[in-house]
Amino acid sequence: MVLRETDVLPTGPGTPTADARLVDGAGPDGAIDRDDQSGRPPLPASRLSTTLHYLRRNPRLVAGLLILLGLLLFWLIGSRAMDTTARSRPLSGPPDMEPSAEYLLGTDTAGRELLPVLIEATPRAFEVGLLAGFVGLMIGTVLGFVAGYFGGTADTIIGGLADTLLPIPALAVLVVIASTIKTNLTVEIMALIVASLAWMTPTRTIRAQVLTMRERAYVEVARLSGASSLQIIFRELLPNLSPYLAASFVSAVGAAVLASLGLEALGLGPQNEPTLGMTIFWSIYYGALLRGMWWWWGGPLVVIVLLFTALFLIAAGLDEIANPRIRRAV
Amino acid sequence: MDHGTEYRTDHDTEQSREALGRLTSRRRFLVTSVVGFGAALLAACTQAPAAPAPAAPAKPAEPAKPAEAAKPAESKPAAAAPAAPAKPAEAAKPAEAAKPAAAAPAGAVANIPRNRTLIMAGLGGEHPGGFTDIDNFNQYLPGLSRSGFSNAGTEGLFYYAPLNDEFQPWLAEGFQFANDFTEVTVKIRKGAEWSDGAPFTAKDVIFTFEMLAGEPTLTNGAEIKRQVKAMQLVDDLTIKFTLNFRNPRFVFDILTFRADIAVPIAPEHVWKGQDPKTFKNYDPSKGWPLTTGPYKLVATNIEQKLWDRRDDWWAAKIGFKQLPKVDRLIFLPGMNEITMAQKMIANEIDMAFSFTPGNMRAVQQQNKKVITHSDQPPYGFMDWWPIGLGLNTTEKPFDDPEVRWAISYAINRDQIVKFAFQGFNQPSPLPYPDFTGLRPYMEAAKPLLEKYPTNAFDPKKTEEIMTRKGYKKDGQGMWVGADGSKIAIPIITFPQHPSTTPQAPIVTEQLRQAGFDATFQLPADYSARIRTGEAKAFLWGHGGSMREPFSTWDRVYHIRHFRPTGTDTGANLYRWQNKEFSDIVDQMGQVAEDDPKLMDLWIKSLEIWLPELPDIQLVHTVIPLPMNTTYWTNYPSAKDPYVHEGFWHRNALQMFLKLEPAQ
Repeated sequence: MVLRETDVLPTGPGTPTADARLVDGAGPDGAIDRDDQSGRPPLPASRLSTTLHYLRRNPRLVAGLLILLGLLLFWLIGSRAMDTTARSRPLSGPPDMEPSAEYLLGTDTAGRELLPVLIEATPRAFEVGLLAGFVGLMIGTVLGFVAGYFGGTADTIIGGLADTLLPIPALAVLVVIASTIKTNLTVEIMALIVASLAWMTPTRTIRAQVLTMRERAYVEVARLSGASSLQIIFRELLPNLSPYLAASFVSAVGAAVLASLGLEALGLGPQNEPTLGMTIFWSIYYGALLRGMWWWWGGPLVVIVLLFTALFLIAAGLDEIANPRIRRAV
Repeated sequence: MDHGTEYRTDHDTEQSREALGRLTSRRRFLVTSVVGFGAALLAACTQAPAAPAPAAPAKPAEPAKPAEAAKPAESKPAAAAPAAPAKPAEAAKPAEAAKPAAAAPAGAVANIPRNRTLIMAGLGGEHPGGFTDIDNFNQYLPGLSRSGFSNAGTEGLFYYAPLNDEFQPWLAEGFQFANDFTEVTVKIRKGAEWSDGAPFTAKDVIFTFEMLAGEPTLTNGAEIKRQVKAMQLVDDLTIKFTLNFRNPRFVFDILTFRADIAVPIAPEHVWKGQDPKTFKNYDPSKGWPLTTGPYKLVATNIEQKLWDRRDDWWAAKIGFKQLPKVDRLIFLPGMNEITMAQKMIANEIDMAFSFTPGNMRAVQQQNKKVITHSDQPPYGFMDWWPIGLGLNTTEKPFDDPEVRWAISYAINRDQIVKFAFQGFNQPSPLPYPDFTGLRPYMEAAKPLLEKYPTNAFDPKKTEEIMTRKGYKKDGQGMWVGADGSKIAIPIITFPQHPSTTPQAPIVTEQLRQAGFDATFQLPADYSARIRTGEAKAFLWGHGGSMREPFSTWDRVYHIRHFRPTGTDTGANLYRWQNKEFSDIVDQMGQVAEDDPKLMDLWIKSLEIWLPELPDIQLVHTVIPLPMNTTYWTNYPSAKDPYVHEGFWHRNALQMFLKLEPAQ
């Protein structure tokens, strides 16, 4: 006889699945439940105030989100305040101008105005990061689940491939790929190049997570209850893994931004649209450091530092949600 | 439990003993080191009291210390304490981490003061980061660095300096053509010698040419095989070449040192019996590589190559030339421009490979002793490689000369000079450098250039031509053809080249502003893409002529070099086919350089070339090379361009001979 969940267990909060989550403490629900058990007054019912209450406890996440918001505002306001597309191109101003009222962040040797360049380049860094991070994580998630859940030959092949590719320095491979691309590189192609080597780490870590989760009681029960593999993956495993995936996604975005900046700074990125790395490439090419043209490399540097700080803080904040053990006492 | 505790205690004690043992030996090691260091210091101070105490070198036998780095290649390491330099503070500092030459030739490396040493960094950009040809001095194989052997040790039969149009016989005394330019007799200078004292004779020349003709894969081998039918040894100092065809340019093309060109001669008594494809020509115990020039190799390693003056130079002995004042030449490999700039500011080097204009200005601001070829624009020296925007003329719409002219009118060369080169350049109306010997031809071209202004920036003309050709502008101001497609101009060029790379964003933007869908890329495989025609548009130079127009026409635009797209070609990269033009070029090749008929043919060729405009002319290649006058003066300059200052080129010897010490 096939034992089904509905046959023996009532649905609702008391289901073994929910209990298992509580025991594992792996989900955001778990966090709230634990608070309930700690004897504190019950949380306000409103979802917004719940969120706010939680955010107050997680200042790193808040700080990261605020910096990110600041960068987005910089782009949104900047791109509406001036014609950044035209003014970020070469010959839009005189060469080598120091910052002034007319050229707020100065110009480079080719006559690009550097403020519009920064305004244009900031969302591109995000775009590459989000796209490459998303694609890399998606591939990694699918492969990680296939390898971890089904095991066998699939695990051997996927694991072997990931293990083989992982120790190869990604930048070296990316340099080769980028330099053999025949068409003009766009930000999107660049993101795909970066994503092509961004899936191994997620594959490995997600496979490991799935391996442990596969053996947990609630999965066993679901399996005994007749749930199919896909149902287990999508209804049991993925929801429990989502905070971890969110934290991984932020890390993947950071790694992708870093890889793309490296390629751009080597002159292998898109050249016909302003990016942070391309600005650094030309500032190195023209010896901006030696010539004291701090405004040339200073702007991109500040944006890069802010971007990585924000990503780090958000990843740390999300990690706290995903992993209650590192949660700070309130 | 107790037993267990005892056991752990014993184990801990053993560990402690082991640790104590390690400590003892470490202490012993430290004591030994300190004593060793003290002894070394004492020895050094006793021998050279003026020298500041160097940071403890581990081995006292290591002669070169940072503080007195004058002896980079003390080749007698057995002499533990090196001979004290007379003035260590002034001693030449060849490289930051002056290590003894691993493969130094036999014989001590003398200690030469900094102010008698000429230090050159970066070569022509090759061997970045370190020499890879430490023990290879076979200049008939590719890949050899231009670090002294080719430019200070080897001499030419003749020299040509393009900046002042000076041709001078050197190892040869002269030549005489005969039989309608199918024979030429060359006379070797009496008294010329190799560095081992053996005479330099016509036999060496014949041996070298036969060796190269027998092995076409060697540098110049194929060309010698094509041009030379036979050689005859008339006497020890006379050779008669019989040529395969009428060839008035044989002496200049093959025997005359200029830039990197011409055939160097090898000593028969060293090379005979060797396989030229594998022979390294290096054996310090035998004094190899032999030279005829006034310098001999004294040290070669990954960081530097040292060449010291040879006082028994033949030219000084027979009174042909005076000995150079530079006692030592030090060549440092290709390196980062910022590193070179910092070394130049700190007077650690005297010359460096081309700087980008911005860096040059920054260096000059911080070190007033650094000069360039001229203090007037374009500041640097003229190279033989004017840059153009090449188009694959077999591709539509670039197969249409009118479209090529429309593109040419869209480009503002003055803006390129201002933005890409900060004034360190000038527009180039024809694919020829502004060399003295070429100027009469450029003068003669002026009336035609007024009719066909290759450097004119005239957007209205672009508009007029494109409209006439049926193109219309779309909503974004881009030209579109009848099928609605834009005119894509995907430009590629070198990732890092001082003359082409900085132009790429500027030219691209100018074309975009004129309605062409231009983009640019700096791919690593730029050369292959251009040679196969895969690149539709590219920035590239024109090399060839130095004193008359035939060579560039022949090398760059002749129909015999034409290959269809997809097939590799090293010349006629534009894939331009014009039989009439090529016939005129062939006629030019038959005419001697000083024959007035050459001018007539030049004008005829221009009458075809200019309306066709196979590629778009942009600007010259001007090399702003920094020269430090702290230790040396009388560098080549616009006022006295006795040679150009490319110290990696074959004719650099002329500069080494003329430099004067500043101190």
